[in-house]
Amino acid sequence: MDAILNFFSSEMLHSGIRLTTPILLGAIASALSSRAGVLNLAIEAKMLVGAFVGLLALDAGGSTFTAILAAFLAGAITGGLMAGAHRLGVDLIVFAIGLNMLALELSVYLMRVLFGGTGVWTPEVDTLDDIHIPFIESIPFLGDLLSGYNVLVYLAFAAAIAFTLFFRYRPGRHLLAIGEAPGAAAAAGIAVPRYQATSLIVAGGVAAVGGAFLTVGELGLFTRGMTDGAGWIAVTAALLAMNRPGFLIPASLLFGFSDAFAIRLQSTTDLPQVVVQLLPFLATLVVLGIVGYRATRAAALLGMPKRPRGAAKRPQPATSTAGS
Amino acid sequence: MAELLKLQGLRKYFASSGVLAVADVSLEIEAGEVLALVGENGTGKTTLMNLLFGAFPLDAGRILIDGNEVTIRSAQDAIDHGIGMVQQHFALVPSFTVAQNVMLGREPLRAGAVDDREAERLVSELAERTGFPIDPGQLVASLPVGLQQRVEILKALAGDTRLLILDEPTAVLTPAEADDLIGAVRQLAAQGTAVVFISHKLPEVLAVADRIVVMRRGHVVGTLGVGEASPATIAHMMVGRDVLLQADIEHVQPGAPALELDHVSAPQLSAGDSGLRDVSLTIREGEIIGVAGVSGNGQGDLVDAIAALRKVEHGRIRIAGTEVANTNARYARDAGLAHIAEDRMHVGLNREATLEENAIATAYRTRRFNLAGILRTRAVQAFARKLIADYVVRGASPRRTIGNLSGGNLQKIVIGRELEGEPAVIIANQPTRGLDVGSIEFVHRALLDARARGAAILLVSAELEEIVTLSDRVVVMYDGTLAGPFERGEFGTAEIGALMAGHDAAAVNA
Amino acid sequence: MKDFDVARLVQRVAVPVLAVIFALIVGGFLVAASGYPPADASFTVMQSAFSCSPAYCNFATVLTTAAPLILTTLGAILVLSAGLFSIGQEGQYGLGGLAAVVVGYAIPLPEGLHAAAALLAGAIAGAAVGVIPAVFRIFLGANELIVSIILNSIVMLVLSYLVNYPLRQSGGSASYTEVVDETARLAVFDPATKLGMNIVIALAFVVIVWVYLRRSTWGYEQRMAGAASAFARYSGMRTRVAVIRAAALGGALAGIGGGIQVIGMNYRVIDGFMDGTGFNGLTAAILGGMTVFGGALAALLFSAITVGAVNGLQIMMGIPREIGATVLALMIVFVSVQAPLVERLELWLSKKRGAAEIARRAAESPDASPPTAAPPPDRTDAASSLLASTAAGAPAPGLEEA
Repeated sequence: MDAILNFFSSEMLHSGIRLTTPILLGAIASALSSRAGVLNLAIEAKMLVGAFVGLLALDAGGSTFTAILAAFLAGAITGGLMAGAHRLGVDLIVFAIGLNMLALELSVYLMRVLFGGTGVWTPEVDTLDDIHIPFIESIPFLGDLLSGYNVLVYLAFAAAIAFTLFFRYRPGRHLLAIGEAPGAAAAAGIAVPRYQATSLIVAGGVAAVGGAFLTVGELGLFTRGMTDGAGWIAVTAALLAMNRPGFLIPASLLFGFSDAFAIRLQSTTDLPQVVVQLLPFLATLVVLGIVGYRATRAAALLGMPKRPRGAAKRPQPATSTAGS
Repeated sequence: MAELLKLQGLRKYFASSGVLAVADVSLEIEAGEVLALVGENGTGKTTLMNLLFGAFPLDAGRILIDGNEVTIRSAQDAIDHGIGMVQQHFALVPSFTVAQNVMLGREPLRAGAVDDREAERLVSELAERTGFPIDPGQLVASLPVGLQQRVEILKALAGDTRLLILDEPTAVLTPAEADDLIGAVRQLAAQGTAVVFISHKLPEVLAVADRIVVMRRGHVVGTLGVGEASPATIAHMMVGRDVLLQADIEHVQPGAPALELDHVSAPQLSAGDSGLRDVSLTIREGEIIGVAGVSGNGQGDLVDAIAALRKVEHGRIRIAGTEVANTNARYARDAGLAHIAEDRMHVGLNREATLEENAIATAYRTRRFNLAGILRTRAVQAFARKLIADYVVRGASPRRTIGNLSGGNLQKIVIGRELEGEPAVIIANQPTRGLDVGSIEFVHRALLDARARGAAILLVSAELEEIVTLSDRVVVMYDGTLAGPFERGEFGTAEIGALMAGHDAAAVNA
Repeated sequence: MKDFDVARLVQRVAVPVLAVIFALIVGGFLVAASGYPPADASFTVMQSAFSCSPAYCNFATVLTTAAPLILTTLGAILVLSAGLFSIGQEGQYGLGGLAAVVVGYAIPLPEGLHAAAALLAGAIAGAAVGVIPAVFRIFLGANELIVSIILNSIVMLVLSYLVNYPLRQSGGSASYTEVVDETARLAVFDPATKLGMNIVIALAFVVIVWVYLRRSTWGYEQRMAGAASAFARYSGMRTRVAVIRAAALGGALAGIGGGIQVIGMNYRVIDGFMDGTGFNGLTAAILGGMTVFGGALAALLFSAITVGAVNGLQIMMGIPREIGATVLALMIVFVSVQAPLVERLELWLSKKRGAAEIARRAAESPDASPPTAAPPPDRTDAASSLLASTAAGAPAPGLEEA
């Protein structure tokens, strides 16, 4: 028993929560986009944009608050680009692949043009302070779990909870309808394109704050591809949560802690960490399989014809359906 | 009484498919009136109503409500003008409750948040007032189809709706549910709501409507008061005019049985078709059997069962002696089947592919075109050239995509491919739908030639005239069952019309 | 009558070319922002990508870099042309490389045969990874795109584990495998750049894949199944088999890509072997318009710009090399945006044509409604209509669908 408790050291708890934070913010962005009926694979790009712009703003003399705000705005603009592309009928998957690559390369290019030819940019800035909550801090275990993080960590969890509550309000209800049955939403007079655009813009901002957490919140430096696939993990976590806001926190914690757990495992035992790291991905595959199977079955039972592949992949404005 | 709604010269042309779906249609509807809009599939009924509901912009024409011209650009505009529409494919959110669906877009609020309890109360009230009772707290996904439709109707009525459009509302209902719906629609009309009821099931049209408007190929071809209409008269207007039977077709002595169906039953798979119930039929060599019937009565399932494109529950299907039921399309084709598909745009052809690629779709594995897994390009091209020449496919070239060819030329490619290699059995499903007169003639000639050399042909058509002209014998499908076959000379369009409307075969023959 | 669809060809070529031009313009601005004249920069890129001196041949480096990329590009094209949107080339490439290395050092085989066996192992590993998304899609109805993304992560983790533990070189100071035997290495023409059989194999596969897709029955089947699955099924093709086969073959190609990288260039797999070659293959496939030769050209362009940006801009001019990949990314973005714009233009044009056609016919027969949707002429005698119909009017191209 003691061995187990020892294993969950305060360090591990802390690093688990920290590793979860960008994933959680990215997962919120991914789920928000999915709820609006758009598969958003550019989370990685937006995180990188946020990480870079946030640090840029901080270095330019802004406060940490303005840095985070700048990151949010930059991400929102990236999301706005996607929204515009969606409106045109662009294949968003290809577009997102381009955006991811663009963010990766352009951020490094600008970094090197602006700050010289090194691989790491370490400006002299102060990152966010950790917040120590009185009383709770001194409670064993719980204190480690709840206290001593910077504001973005708390913000991320608050955002996830706010996302859950959002569905109790009219816009949230409409968003649910759009994601599940866009035709029904449009027939009820809901402005589907506007909701989709807004969601993509907000998602861009939220994901970018996830990126800013890494630079402005923790490290105070920027390197090539420093999000290290967190955007893709965030997309996966949102899928594991089946895009339900209530499940986003546990799903993100699973990914965050599996990393923390693996690091700890490596330092204390000989067990291969890969087993722990693989777990959330395998769980997601299982969830995808089950969800897909059930959706296929449900569609068959409802007597709805399967959508033709092309239509599913590339939604077009409904101008070409003829006949009665 | 002044009309509630007036449509003047509405026209809609679909550029992407080159279809003139609605051609200068005018009609009017009064408050408290049930207007039935009838016609075969693809005659523009739904498109017409979608124009009214703001789904597409008008190409020409005017819409007047209470005598004032209105512009309807979106569903919201239509709703604001008091129009509600229940689409054939439901637009419901499955994970929402009945009340959440009905109140979608107009949710009641309390302290800023959505008040679901108030929504349920409002929906109960609405359901009671309009005569469509339902439990508002149920999840829509858990409801049977009939109740899902009721949710759709309540949704359409939830605003200040004065005109309700129902698109094929009974297609998904059991007979008892359909009767309930008809009663409720009459009650709604009695309260002053105007209803447009789209259908091609004739008995229910007569039961529900005050007036019947028949559409054919984008035009209104007639308007009947309910007193002057009978299933047979409507059927005639739907499928064409009365035809004088005549057989200027050379006599062919039928040979051995080529296609045999033995007590075939298949469950209904989708709302669009009815499944098959104990269907037996034999077609001999050198014989054309016409399948008449209002579409959606099992013709599609019959064709798919023979072509092994769907499973059957009971029964045997033999093509030239080979059992093909529950096998696969390749097996059925290898047994000697050719199949002219109903939907040549998406099923019969690949319009993104070249003519060559379309021409060899059923024969690319044979030695003629295939040498150890590599296509014999010369043979393929030669065949494509021969097909173009033999079937006079205009504007085509072997290595060009066929996307821009006209419907008639596309169908020639299908027929040229399917009739190659002298198949024993040919299914021709709506082979002339949407074709111009010259192409129709061409298709008919091709089928008669195939018959002359001994093919057994199953001709499914919505054009009664076509069936009567070409067929040696005729069967009529209604609700998954088969009446007949009737020999040439034994059938007339009146009898077939009555059978298509669901009357008993015995009564007709008597 | 020509055998080629000129308009279509123009469109197919014009779209990516315009995107390339736009991307270059934006790239030029970025270079200018860094304080260098863009014209000089682009000249330097071209010069250093295609120049060759006795001491060091830049163009050989371009070809060596392109070889594995061409294979992952071909893998992407093969899968995508079967209508399966799998972007798992990265994982296939990674596992393919690892499998090739293991065969390359663990199984002693004679020269020639050894390399072939290593590449075969790479192909099998790649195919195994490639088939999984197809199975998820066909049997479980899951989204193959998402499955392939997750598979990339899984392979990345597994590869890292294997390279760090069971397959780590004994006594090695860092995380990498043993070095492959001399017998398993591909022949090299230019030792400085490792140009050798790798590019020959890659180019051979360009031809093979073209023949497969355009000339073989399997390729024909998978293209039909990808573009029009209802048509393929109706025609009697086994669409599921065709799609799974395409996924396996596409995976095998990307796996071979990993294989030639390790037995032609690296000779071992390090932790971090999955460096984006698979992903860039997908990008090149998109840039090349999903055509075999277009994709291969795009892969070459990709390598040329990358190499040119490193050897030319960074080393010679001091412009950060990332500008090369930035321009490539811009190309992808512009290509994706152009496609729907072209589609809209076409729809608008056909709408204008259709309206003109209706107007023309209305003018020709003022008392008749448009003949296309009109009921057939009143027939009293069906047989006579059969005979008379040819005289009744020429077919109306494009408009007779009712």
